[in-house]
Amino acid sequence: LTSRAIAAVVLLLSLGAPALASAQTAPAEAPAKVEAPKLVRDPGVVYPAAALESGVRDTVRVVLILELDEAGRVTSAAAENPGDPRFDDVALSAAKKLEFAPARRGATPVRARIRYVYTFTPPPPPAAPEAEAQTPVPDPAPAESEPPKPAADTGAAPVEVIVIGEKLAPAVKSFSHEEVREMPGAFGDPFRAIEAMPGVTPIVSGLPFFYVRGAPPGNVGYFLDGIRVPYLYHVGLGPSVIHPGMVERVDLYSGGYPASFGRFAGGIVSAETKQPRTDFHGEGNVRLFDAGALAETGFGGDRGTILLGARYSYTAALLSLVVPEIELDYRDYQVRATWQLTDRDRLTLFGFGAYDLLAETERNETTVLFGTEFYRVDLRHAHALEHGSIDTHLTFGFDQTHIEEQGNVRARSLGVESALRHRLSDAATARVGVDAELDVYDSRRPSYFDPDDPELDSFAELYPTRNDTTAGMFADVTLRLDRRVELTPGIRVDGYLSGDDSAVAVEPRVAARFLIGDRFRLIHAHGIAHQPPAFVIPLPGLQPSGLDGGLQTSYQTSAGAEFDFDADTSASLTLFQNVFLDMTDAIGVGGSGDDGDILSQRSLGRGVGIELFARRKLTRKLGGFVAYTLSRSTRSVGRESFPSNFDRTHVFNAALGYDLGANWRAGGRVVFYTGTPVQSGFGDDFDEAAGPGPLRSQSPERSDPFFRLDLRLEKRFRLGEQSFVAIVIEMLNATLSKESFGDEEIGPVTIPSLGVEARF
Amino acid sequence: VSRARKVTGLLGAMLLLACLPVDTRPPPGALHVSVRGNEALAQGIPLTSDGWSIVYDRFLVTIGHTWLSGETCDVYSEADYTRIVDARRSEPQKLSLLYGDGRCALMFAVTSPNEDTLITAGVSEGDKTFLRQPGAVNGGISMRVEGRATDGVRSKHFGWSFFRYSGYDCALQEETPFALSGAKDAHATISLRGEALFELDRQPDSALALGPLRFTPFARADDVFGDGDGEITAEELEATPSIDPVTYDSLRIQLDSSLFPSLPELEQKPCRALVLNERPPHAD
Repeated sequence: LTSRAIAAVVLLLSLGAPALASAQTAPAEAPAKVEAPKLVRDPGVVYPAAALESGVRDTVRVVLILELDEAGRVTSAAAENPGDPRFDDVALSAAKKLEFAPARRGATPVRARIRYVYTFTPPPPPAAPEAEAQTPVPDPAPAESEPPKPAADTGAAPVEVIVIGEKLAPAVKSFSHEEVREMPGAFGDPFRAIEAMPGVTPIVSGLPFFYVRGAPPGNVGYFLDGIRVPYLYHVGLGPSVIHPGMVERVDLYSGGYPASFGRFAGGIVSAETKQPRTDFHGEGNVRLFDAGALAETGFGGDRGTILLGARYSYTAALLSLVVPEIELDYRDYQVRATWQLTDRDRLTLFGFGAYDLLAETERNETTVLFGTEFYRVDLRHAHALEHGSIDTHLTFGFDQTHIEEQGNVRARSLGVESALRHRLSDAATARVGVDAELDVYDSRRPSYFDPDDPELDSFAELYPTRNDTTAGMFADVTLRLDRRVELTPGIRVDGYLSGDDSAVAVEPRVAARFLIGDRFRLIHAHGIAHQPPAFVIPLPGLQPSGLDGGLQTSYQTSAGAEFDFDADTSASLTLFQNVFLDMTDAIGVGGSGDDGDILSQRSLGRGVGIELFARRKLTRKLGGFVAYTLSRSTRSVGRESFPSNFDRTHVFNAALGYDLGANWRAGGRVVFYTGTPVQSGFGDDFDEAAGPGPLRSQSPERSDPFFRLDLRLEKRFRLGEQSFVAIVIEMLNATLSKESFGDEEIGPVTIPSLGVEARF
Repeated sequence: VSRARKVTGLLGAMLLLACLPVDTRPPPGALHVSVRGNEALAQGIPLTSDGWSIVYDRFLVTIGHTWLSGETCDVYSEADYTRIVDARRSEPQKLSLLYGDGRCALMFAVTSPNEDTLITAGVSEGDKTFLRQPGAVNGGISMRVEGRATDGVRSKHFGWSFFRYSGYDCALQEETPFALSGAKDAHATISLRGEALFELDRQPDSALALGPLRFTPFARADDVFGDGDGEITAEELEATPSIDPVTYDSLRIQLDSSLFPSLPELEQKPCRALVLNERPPHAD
């Protein structure tokens, strides 16, 4: 029994112990062919006089990376490989005057990123004077360069048109799927890469639950195409519940997020799926622990697409060899079907789900120690407007979590949401949306229990059978006040009904982006966010009931600067401060002898710090990043004010990947962070009613710092232009480092992986 | 249409694919566990071997965390909570309800109370607050004993608090653990023995040798090693040699390490204490 209890507790601890998908405007573009932007006007460039004066006579090519908005205007320009600044500056200056007809997907103008080449041809040497008496020889005047053309027209460089969708909000940190694939220790999983981002403080090495700018894991919301995902990682340590091949990009909004996101007070992790493709393609992988595959193809004359993805763990089979009585099983699936109704209308049916089980079998009797599952079916209609899009979707959900001797909670949900994005003018784009969700919770006690057990009462009180309703609306507008100032004010209003309790939250938000020069930006993001009480970590169905203590409220503010060295290399520095009122953070506040009601304990939280992020895309021959966070996260409860149990002053991540040639690629990643507080002398029993007790220190001793090294080695075998097979060896914590918590050591938590991946 | 139906069917099937397994175990047996004080607690000890009579004025015990165990025991439920019991009451009071299948041993603990600890007949919220002394080691008092003793000439008063955590296994020495199965009810009664604290000749780690009851060494703690004011304090016990000086440095340690853990018995058979942590008794 004890071992079972420990196993369950370990799992819960390893796991860390609603709301309607407030929606990021999902892509509304149809899978029609993308039409590249067309050059309308290019005033051209002249060979820099300074270069001529210094004797330069070479033909010089400057490749620019341009981002164009839906009107075809150049919104950003950078040299792909900065060279002679005399040429780069002229090219960048000229790029500002370029005019394009926008890229289009079907009939819809879309934002795009392209390569654009200026070729500087030196002027011919001045002709010899026919007679000295003729007009004086002019100084070598700047001569017009070769007429500029898009690179594709010249054939000098391929045009790369990337539809980049809606411009990302300020202050967001992103990794693309292709980048994450090269990140050591992430196992190719975009969601696991979040822990490497600045502002993210891990709980335990290898455990994909984390604090974001002082906010606990339960206050971080996960979204996939605007659909709330209740649970992101299989069995705590496992991979994410979404096949990586589906994910185009993962964004982390650490604070001051757009008004379209709501009902989470700590942070938003938002993933965007890849656009549907009509050509038959797919990928798969086989690893030590699991196997997964994903394939997509078109049908109906390429008006429709169908995607199937799944992953299955045979961990149970392997584990049974070592511990026959324990069964560990996880799986997930994704199904997506799209149908192009018209050039402007697309229907998408998207279903996904995940299942985790930890069970013990004794004498042929199986007992579920911990099990959780969720399923979502989302029907979406996307309509492209002349200057925007309308996106409406209906989501059905089923969540269930079972904890032995605690009970079983199920939730069925139905949500609807509609969002409009409209370009009001060249200088203003507005987004408005409404949504509502009904969650029907069904809480069941264990089959056999002592009716007097207060623990069960606490569980039933926290998670009773009930109906919760939420509804909200948001609006924001991105104003380009001039070429260098972009301001996005917004507001969000949410109403909550849980049992007999109700609450309304009004959340103003504002973000700003100030361009100083072409490569330097100042970023501000500020906002208020609310959230009902939350469980320690996100688990399907385990949404605490009632609003007795009110909504959690966070005041989020950040200011930073970003600098682009080139299209692939950038750096940023951000200062942040978050304040959390009525926060629920059981693991950040709790002491060793806390009662069950610590789950509903409220505290005043604060997170303040500095984030540094410098990166060069990991997909480059030499790529990498450095992410460093200096922060302090505190809690105040009653008379006490102390650092959060998982406050870490320094968190450092650095990764490097290098293309060794011959399709070999190697990478390493260093993770370092300082220790958590050790509150010795603090009473085991935390209870204000019992009277004064020992207080926790504001400057306690710390556990030892932690260091680990992750490694990755890949060999690819190319089978065609877009097809390959790769062997990937990866190890998280190759240094076998142990982690300290007070007097106790954990680990080493080392995850080796040997796998074969294929893509076609 | 056919394709659409297939897609719809596929999605519907996905929703049903992997529901968590349902409980298919056979119905278990129920074990109703109760607790009571014995006659010595209710009526007092009329006469010890050395001529003292003892009466308890207060005897509060925090007991619970009951669970089943055993090689052939399938555990269906635990009762991971505690109750504060007034051990001077002789009628059985509910301690917990457990479910299991097979041959199961009963285990429980005497420990400090927490906020969720239930109180039973004769125990007040004030008692609970008292036992949950703020700042106390291990979160509070496991057992509070107050009483009086007299040998006809002298009268002594004692008030001792125990902070020790003791886990008890009441079936390892029981050759026939509880047989639970088939939705049948079984009953177990834990008795708390008032004599336990004065069985000074008890051998270490022995659950069987009860020995005669003696109070004189406690009286000497006040008369010889204390201030003789009639109140036997923890400090005086600390200063008093134990009956078994090889094993225990003082009478206080003997009381704490040997006598206190021998308090409960199950179905008139002694229990064995499994876990003892180091918490000194405390008299206020």
